[in-house]
Amino acid sequence: MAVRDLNFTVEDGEFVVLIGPSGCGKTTTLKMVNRLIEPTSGELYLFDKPAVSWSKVELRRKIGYVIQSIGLLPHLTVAQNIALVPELLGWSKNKQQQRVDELLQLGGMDPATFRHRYPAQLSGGQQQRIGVLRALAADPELILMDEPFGALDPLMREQLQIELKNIKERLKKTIIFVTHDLNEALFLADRIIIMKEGMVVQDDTPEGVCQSPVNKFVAHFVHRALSPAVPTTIVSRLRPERVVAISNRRRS
Amino acid sequence: MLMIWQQMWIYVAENLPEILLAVKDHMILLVLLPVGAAAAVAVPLGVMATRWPLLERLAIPFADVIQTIPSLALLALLIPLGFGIGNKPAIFALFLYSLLPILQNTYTGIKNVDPDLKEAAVGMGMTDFQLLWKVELPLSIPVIMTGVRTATVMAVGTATLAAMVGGGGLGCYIVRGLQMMRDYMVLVGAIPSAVLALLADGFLVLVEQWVTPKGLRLLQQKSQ
Ligand SMILES: Nc1ncnc2c1ncn2[C@@H]1O[C@H](COP(=O)(O)OP(=O)(O)OP(=O)(O)O)[C@@H](O)[C@H]1O
Ligand SMILES: [Mg+2]
Repeated sequence: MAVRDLNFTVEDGEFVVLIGPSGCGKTTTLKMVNRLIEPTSGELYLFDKPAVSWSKVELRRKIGYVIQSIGLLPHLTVAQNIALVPELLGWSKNKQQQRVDELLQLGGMDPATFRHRYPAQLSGGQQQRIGVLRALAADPELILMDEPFGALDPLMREQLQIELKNIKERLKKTIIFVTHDLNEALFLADRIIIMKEGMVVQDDTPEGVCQSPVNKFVAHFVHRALSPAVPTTIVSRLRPERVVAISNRRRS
Repeated sequence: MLMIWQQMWIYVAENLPEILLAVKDHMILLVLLPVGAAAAVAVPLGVMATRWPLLERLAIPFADVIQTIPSLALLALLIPLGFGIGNKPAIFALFLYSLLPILQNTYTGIKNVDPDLKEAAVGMGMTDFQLLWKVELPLSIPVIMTGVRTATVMAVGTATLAAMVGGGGLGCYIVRGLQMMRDYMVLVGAIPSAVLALLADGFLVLVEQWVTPKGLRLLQQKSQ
């Protein structure tokens, strides 16, 4: 059983971050929200109605979804990928194209340059951006993001975090965001839900999580995130030659 | 050794219109028709096999069994089954033979589409039909086309057997040559059918590239 004891609500316009170690059930939780996975027991309400009363297809088109592995369709152009849900919803070509250009600009990518490219012609970071823009395309009320910046280098990651925060403040979306990086969570979240082994450990504001962790697990998690990037154990394990090699000094 | 080539060329020069007619019969009646019909049946069947577990368990083993029947035996079997002699049993046998590679490749092509992509598509609200039409089929085109290519190359070769049951095609020269013990006449059937198999293969490689979505081609090039 991937998720055991899960209990939380997300308010309109809230940015909630699910966080926890690998395998704790974050992805599973998101997939229950768009009904890719049905819970074996318990209740799920979406947009104030029982989840089961929605048609799956209709529900999913109202929810933006950024999957962990990006999942851009390789045979479609950037524009076609972004306009995927609008296309399913039957928007006119004109409206679709307008929306695509608008979103590319929002994501800091020149429409004329990128519109007709294929995913294979994009860098990893650009692909992740398109993945995020695709989720925004049909202006959904709720967006699920599963480690959308997972495979990025720290610089790019920081840049996209800032962009996402801007987007969120401008568009006032309800977002459920998965990460296992607490710094990312602290930066983005209105509320952080810390999970472990399929259960909610703490459901709190970023300040609450940092200042009053409910148990050792959370405290450790916070401590590790807020301490310098390289844990002391690793520093002490680096041999001197290694340090020289890294800093690229000439060996004597 | 030189003799046989000379004899062959003389024969070809004297019978060119008839040979070209045999080439036409071979490629259209005994290859294009049965492989085309097989594709029309096997692609939808392969798609349905990915949707219906019962069909999944029946269709592929069935095509497998047909494939294991020796071609000459299958041809001979069709004669008493009401197909008589001539091109008819040959066309039907070639149709049956072409089913498996196309069915198999359609089925595995669709099954092997990256599950993450399928999940993304479904998660964004595609219906099952949209998933098939907009994602699974376009992404399986190269694999399906490989199946068609395999079937075609096989058919070009196997079609020479049609002459054994009174059919036409290039096999006629092989059969006639063997009966009359004229080696050069065997070559008149054998060489063009080998060349045609290579040409058909090359042609279908081009078609495959042409029908593969551009984005997918770029991805393939990148991962090479
Ligand atoms: N299809 C499945 N069937 C059974 N168990 C699964 C399935 N998918 C995942 N699990 C298990 O469920 C648990 C939670 O998986 P989940 O993918 O939700 O973790 P996660 O928190 O997203 O991890 P990560 O940070 O590595 O992405 C894991 O122990 C995993 O092995
Ligand atoms: Mg996950």
